[in-house]
Amino acid sequence: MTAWPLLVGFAAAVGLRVVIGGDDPAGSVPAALLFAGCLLVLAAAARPAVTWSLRAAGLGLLGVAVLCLPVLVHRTLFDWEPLRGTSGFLPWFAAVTAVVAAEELFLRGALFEVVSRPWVAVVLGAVCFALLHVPLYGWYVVPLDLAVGLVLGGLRVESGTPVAPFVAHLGADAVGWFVA
Amino acid sequence: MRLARRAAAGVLLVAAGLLLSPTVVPVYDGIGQPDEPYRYVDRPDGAQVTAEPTSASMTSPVQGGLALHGMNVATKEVAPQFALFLPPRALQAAGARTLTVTATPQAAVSDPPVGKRADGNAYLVGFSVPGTTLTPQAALATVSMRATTAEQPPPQIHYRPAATEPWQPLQTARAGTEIYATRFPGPGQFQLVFGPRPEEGSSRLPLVLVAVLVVAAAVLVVVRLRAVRPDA
Repeated sequence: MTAWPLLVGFAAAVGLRVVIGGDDPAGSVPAALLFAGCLLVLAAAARPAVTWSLRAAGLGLLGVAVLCLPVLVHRTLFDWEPLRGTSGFLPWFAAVTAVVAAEELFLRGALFEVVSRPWVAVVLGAVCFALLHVPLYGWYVVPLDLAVGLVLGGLRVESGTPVAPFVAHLGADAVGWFVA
Repeated sequence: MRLARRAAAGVLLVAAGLLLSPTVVPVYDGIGQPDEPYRYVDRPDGAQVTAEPTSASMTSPVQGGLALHGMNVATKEVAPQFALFLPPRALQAAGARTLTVTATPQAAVSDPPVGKRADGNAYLVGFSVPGTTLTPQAALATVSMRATTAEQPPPQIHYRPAATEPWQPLQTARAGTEIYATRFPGPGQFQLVFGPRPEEGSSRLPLVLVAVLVVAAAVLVVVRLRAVRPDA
């Protein structure tokens, strides 16, 4: 099996999210959930191995620190604002959990099943991760999301399972609620 | 030890990505965090009742005629409806000991640029010291404004030094779902404006058709993948 059918499906899912999201693709929960559903279907086709372990969860928590430390330092030094409150957090977090799970199962799960060299899968996953956010937030996100994608791919290689990047990704998003 | 080195490399990598991203971006993904409803000075019919929009101000000591501190003059809404970032030494206020920068919401202007429609409040930026000028450091200063909607095509920030002067369009970049940013040209009035409203009844049917085609393509891909799997 090659990666290209998955990549075509991935591009289609991103396009679908943008189309359904209309004027606000980043803020549209239905579009995000539909996108997540498409990715889950695509990931299921490749049947990625998902194994839970304390080590993977621990690596994921380390990943949260790695992803958040530079942002927290930057905001503290240059752009300090009070932390955001918890109002509206839970429904937002539930939707984000679904999206993050789908993204990680696809980018750090399915792609790693169909690409033989791990470093190629890491780079491919990072590029896809960066590009999927461009229609939502603009080209500004590419340097940061590319770096984040590489870190998440590194966690996948280190742990051998998408669980670690899932924990890191979800934790960073949760922190992002309070500091964004 | 090896893990610690890799973690440190990851931190450096993310820090580099952060510094190369020219604006604040969501950390890192998921779904855009919902903003509170827009707070209008003059609430239009049908808009949600909210608290009053907030003003913002910040003061810096002045030394050698220059405002020493960087200033982030941002209103208190989530997300801020107006924010002005000034780097250190961006303002020159000769003879003053302190300098205060304020941003005050006003009702949307009644005389937007011809053919455009004002969106949200106008914001008036002022300096406490008359005659304050911008230094070359002010080239790094940015203004960001929140639109009331993520409607596209995007709005543009317009500026005028005084209400009696003509509007100047500013090169505007999208910095968030409905956040738009531009350079800071100086004190005066800022207003987000959209182009003319699209004609009523413009159909979204083409978009729906595209969506249907995309779903069909995705299904085909999945079916093909399952078909070629030897163990399927």
